[in-house]
Amino acid sequence: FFIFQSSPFLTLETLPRENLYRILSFLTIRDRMIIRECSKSMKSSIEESDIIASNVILDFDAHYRLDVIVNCDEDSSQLRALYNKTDSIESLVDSLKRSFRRVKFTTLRISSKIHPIDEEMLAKITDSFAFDLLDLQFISFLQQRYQRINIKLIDTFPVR
Amino acid sequence: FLFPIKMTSPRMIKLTSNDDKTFEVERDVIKQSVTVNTLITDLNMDDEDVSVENQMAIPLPNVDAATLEMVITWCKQHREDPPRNEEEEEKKEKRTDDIPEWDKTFLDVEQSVLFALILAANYMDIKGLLDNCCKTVANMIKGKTPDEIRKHFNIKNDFTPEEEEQIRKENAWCED
Repeated sequence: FFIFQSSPFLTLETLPRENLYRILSFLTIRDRMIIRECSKSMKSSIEESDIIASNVILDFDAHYRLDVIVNCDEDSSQLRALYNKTDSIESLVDSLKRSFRRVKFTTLRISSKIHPIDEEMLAKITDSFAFDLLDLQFISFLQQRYQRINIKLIDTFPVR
Repeated sequence: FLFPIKMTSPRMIKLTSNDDKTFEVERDVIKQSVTVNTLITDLNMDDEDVSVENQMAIPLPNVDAATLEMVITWCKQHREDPPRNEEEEEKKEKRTDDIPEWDKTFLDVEQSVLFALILAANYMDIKGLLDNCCKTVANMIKGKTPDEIRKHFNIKNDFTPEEEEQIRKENAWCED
């Protein structure tokens, strides 16, 4: 007796990448990063997708926490070094603009849990880059709170 | 005066799964599959005046009967849905809390079935079904720890403790 089964080993890990990326498009960057921790195959699937390739996290813990993830062609260590030299958000933004002309897209992740975000600072950043805003609930909160700031939602990451 | 009402039966299309089971489905229902719809149009099947018995069945070599049956059920349920504007859909906020109740119940199936549906929806190019399946899987992942995700999806942790520690460090910024 023959039982037909088309995909006996079909799991999240064996799912074709284009389908996996579509699933990931509905997740926040936190969840995507967490999936990297699950197994080697999941890690490489995600890293090869350009979702979080060459990401650099810039932490401004002194007054507020701001993570800027820059997905770019350049070596992330270059950006890290650049950050270490900068002492203010303005100079950082300037340096980023000068140094990374080939930046494909950027992601802004802001957490207000530590300290309230400075409205002026946020305006400067959002004016400078086209951000890929992933934490949508939080962005919606920001939009309500800082109505003068025009936060432009461009895209999540390309589904391939 | 009473005029006899002419009852026209809906146009039917035959689909064959990869395990040779043939399904008859209303043309209006299967139009939601871009792949099938394109085939019907390209082959001028809409213009053919042949009975369903003599009609050529459209083979779907990537879809088995059980999955195809589910796909057809989904298409029947969503036959009245307005056509999707993909450009608009891409611009929309990516949410996972907007799966219709009927779909939630329909997609409450074993993971292998859900993944088979994703493959079928992708192959048949039924974006609504594909998105709702992907959102269902995304909801299974959301907010879970790596251990919980592994357990839920039966994923084997093949990292060495050192590798695991390294990734955890890389991920530290996004942990609450």
